Amino acid sequence: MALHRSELGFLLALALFGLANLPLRPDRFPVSTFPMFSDRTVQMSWLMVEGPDGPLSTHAFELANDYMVNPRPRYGLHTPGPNPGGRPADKADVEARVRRHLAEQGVPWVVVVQTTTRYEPDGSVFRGETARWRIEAAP
Amino acid sequence: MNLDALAERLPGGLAQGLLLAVWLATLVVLVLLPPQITSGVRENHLAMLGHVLPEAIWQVRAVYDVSLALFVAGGALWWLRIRPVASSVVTVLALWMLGSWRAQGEMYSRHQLYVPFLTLLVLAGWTVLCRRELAEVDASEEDGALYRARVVPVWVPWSVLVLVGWGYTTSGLEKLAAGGVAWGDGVSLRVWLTALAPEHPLTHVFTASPALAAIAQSLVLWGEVFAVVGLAWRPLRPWFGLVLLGFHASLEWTLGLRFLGNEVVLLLLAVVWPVWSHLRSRTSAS
Repeated sequence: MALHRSELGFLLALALFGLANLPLRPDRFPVSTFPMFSDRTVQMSWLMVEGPDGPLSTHAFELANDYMVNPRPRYGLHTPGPNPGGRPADKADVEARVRRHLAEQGVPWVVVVQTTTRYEPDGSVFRGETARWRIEAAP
Repeated sequence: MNLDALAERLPGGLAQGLLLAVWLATLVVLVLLPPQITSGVRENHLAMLGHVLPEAIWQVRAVYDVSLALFVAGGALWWLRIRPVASSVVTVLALWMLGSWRAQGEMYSRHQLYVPFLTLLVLAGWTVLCRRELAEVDASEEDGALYRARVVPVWVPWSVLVLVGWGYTTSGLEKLAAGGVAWGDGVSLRVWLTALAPEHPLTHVFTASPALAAIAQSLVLWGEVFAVVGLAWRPLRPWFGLVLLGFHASLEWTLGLRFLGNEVVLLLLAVVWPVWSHLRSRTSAS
């Protein structure tokens, strides 16, 4: 039994679809080269936000970080968070972001906590809190 | 490869079983990961449709619900062989919309729907291209005729395996491009596990034994890089299937990353199907 011309066309289209991924390196559903976790991560910092009534969304304060799943900004979603490449955040940058959103979130203050995991020169892996900032609305 | 070998026919039960398993696995993934509409900043589109459809669509929950209803109804009708050509096309289009809606609305891109989409796309291609042959079998009054009739060209499971394998290969090449061979040295595996699952037993095992972490991460790297060859070439297929299944099982166990669609396709096409074919041919020979 031989392949019908339409079957051959379908297979060729699938092959082209797959091969086109390599030079284009897309991350747009339904095509992707699956770049998540592709960095050789040696450090990773992320932030959490707490208000007077408990935890708050990091997205709401522009503090979210998608470094793990999108290690390089050219891929798909890139949240411009304050921990680029998993590096520790800059205090002034965090304060500016939080102050932009305190009023709309209806809270007088927040505490931003940074946790860091990093590979140490002695071969061990450190994990712990590396910053804690209380930020209040500007008077 | 001899192209005519791709036209040889396999029993219809293979495609029907794959269709049911992938459709159910996709539904489980969709139920376990509730959809979100995120109000945060999104700099880029995460779906191809994002470039052509209005932005407002990705903020309307009803679009997701209608797509889900079409996916459920279309998949059920397709599997029951009721207007299979139309229902297969509706099912694939609905999943395209579902996957796009989720990707556009989530701050963290998720890749769980890629393999189900590609698998159903190939099965829909088979349903459309072989519709006359399938209609003859559907017209038969014999019970389960479709499951026994040899109506599935070899290219159907083979192209699913190649597409799935190619996805893993490109993922492995991304890792080599970003971190080189050193990506597999176990350092980043220990950092991720310590960050995301600090109390997990496997984290303690890999933290205590950096060599074991390096072996596991290297196995993933090279298993991914050569996956397209390993899954396409029959003698290697079950071994690569088992390595990739182990990779997904450990990801799910430690980090809760659920790739059920990938697991179902790998289990059915890379492990069960070749082992079953081998045992069947041995039985026939004896």
